[in-house]
Amino acid sequence: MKHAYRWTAPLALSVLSACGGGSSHPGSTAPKAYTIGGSITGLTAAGLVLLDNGGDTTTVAANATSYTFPTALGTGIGYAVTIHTQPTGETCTITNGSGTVGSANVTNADVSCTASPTYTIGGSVSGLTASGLVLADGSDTASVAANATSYKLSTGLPSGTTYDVVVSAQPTGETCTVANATDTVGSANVTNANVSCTANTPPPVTYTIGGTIEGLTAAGLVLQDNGGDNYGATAGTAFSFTFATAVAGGGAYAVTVKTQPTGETCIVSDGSGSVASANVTSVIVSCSQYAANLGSNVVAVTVGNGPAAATSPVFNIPYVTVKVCEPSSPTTCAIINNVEVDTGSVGLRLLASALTAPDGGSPVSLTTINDPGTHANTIGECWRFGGGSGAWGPVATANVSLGSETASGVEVQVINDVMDGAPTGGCGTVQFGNVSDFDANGVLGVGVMQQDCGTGCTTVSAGDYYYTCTSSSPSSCTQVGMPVVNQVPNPVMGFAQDNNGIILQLPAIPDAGLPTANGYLVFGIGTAGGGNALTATTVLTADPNYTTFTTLYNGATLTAGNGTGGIIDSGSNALFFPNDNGPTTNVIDTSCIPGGAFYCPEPPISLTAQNENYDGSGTPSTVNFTIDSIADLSSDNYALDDVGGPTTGSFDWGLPFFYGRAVFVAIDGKSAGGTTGPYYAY
Amino acid sequence: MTIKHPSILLAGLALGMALTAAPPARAALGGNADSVGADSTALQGQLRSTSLVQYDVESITSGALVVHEYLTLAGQVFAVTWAGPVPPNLQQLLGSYFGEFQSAALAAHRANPGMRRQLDISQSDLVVESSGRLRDFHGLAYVPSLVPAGVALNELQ
Repeated sequence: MKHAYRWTAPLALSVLSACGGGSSHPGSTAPKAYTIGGSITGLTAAGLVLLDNGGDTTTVAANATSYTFPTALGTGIGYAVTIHTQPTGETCTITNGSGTVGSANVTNADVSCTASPTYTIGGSVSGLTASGLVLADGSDTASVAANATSYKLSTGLPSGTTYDVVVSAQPTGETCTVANATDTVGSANVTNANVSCTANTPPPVTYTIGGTIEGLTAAGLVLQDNGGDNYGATAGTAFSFTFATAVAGGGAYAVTVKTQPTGETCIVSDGSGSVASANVTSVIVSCSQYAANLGSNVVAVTVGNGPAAATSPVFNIPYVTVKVCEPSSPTTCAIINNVEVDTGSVGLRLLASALTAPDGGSPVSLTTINDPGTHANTIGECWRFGGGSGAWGPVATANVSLGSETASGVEVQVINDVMDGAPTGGCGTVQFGNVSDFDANGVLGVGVMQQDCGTGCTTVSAGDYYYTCTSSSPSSCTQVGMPVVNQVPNPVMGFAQDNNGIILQLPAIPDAGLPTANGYLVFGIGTAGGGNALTATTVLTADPNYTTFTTLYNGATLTAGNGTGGIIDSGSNALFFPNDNGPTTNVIDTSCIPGGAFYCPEPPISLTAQNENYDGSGTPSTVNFTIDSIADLSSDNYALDDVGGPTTGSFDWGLPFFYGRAVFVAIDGKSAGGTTGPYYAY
Repeated sequence: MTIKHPSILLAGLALGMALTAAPPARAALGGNADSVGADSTALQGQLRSTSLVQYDVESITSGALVVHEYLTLAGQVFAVTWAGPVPPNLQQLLGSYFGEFQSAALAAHRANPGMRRQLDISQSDLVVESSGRLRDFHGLAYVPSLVPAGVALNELQ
């Protein structure tokens, strides 16, 4: 079309000339032609294309100051210069752009160029709380600060330009998207390329499931969580374990024993529940050769922080749960937790408060027994402690059950019960009568003797122990000799079977101790079907008068006797032994505790002692032990292995001795596993 | 503290001779020789006396309970020890010191509530060590200011 037009016009013109006046100017040349052009101002960019009469074009270079169309026109021919293509980033206009060619070149169709207006690209920002967001349009980038509510890219774009805003870097922990991200710039700033940010969905938070395995001395234990995640354990001192698979918060866990170890039974406690917002470390797996008989002749023992009512819990007290029923109403029973197991005394003693407000069952009221002398008065007992204190209360009868063992009509002491009178001797320097005094609801004395006092109390002597109390006005209690058979007995003797002694076993624990330790109290030694064979390698016969054996320590022989000797005593919460008694001066620091009641060696010291039969017969058994400073041990741990303190004349193998051992305590005169008590064995 | 047991001490002091006790006056630690008789009566025990270079020992036996009272040569009780299947009535043995002993014992109990089988009190004018358990109680109490010069306390154990 352009092409046709361009050449048609001159042809028509020449025809007109030939027919119009050519004959009047014969021999004349072709008509003169004149160029079309003008000046250019302000052009700094390339791209300008001008057009004349809709057909002739010329491309103008950047910075040009003039132009001329290639096609010249004859006089009288109209011309019309227009912009075909604007230069990049500039807008050009034409003055004197049209007219009729005269007799000279047209040079005043001037072009004037100015920079085009640009428009910014931006938008709103919502939800941005973190730093790190970078937006980009091509090479133009903008960092957006945390909490910004809008953004604008730094480079403006002229109309018609295409933009495409993208997120080149996401902020920390958030993901942003851009709405209306791409379009063409119009004649206004772009303000709707909006950015919206949301926090990343956190990966599901999971927590590990684990706890402590205690008492495991054999191979083969496999634990399982939620029926699938297995944990194979190897034998060792109480240690923590964790399942490989973590559980999301709020999820359930259920720990079971998949495979029992060889020759031992492991019991899981606190093994299931819902995961809160922390790792579960509270699962207890307690392993023992005795655990298989739990509930029959075996009951669970816990060394822990004791009854909630105790104001200042004491470490290393082993607790069991005792069921006490009224002999006159055998279905009226109280369940009493936190009764201390004491191999250093004999007889069950319960706080009156534990009978009236038990942990389970119903309150019980026990009937006091009559003094065998008067057949009328009640019996009052002042149970004495080595520290000079005492616990006062009447003797009553009860049906006492531990596991499946029951002693019916057995004499027990009810501490701090209402009495007809008060003991003339005052019952000790300090009279113990509440939960805080004992850090227990009672004491289960299962030592080597048959009764608590023996022949030392059959006659009235310097020591106050048994009293006869009358309600006759004025009510009073006077000291009385109590026949052995009427004294408070070892409750184990009252069982129908398994009545020759006990085994107390606690797990080995780390030097730093544990918050709790879980063991077992077994009734009977070597009794039929009891799973309680005398497996000890050391058997120490005890003096039937003093309940002690002989211990050799630090060059001194602590011979069983009045005020001397060795004893294995779960009712003492540390190893108590002479500090500098003997030819070898070996004084251990006691200064870290007011009163010097415990040892404070820095660093821990390794010591050794030997135990032997009370009469010195047999081969001494060497015991190695470690004493750490009590100041270094965490008060959160109620089971502590390496604590000791000073005493005089005797070696008291207190509760630390039991960790990692099963200790056999056989009752005086009873055959137990082929050896007659009293003996201690381990 | 090094406190051996009284029975050990007795073994080395077996040269006793009988002494007729004076009528009871008042009891025990810090008291005069007459108080020993009072203790013996109160404890329903038999009395035996031993004289040494630096002090005298009066031994009271009541059933299986044995109490030793140690007297200065001037006749004042400066220490007592005991051992037996049941502990003695310390109110009798400690006499005028019992109140102080009781306060200190209560404080010790509150400081160490787990320490039931043992008590160690060490004050400027009274030292008491008491320990034991089932059928086996023993202890010692003395007044430091009354102890004769040259007497080693561990002799009194």
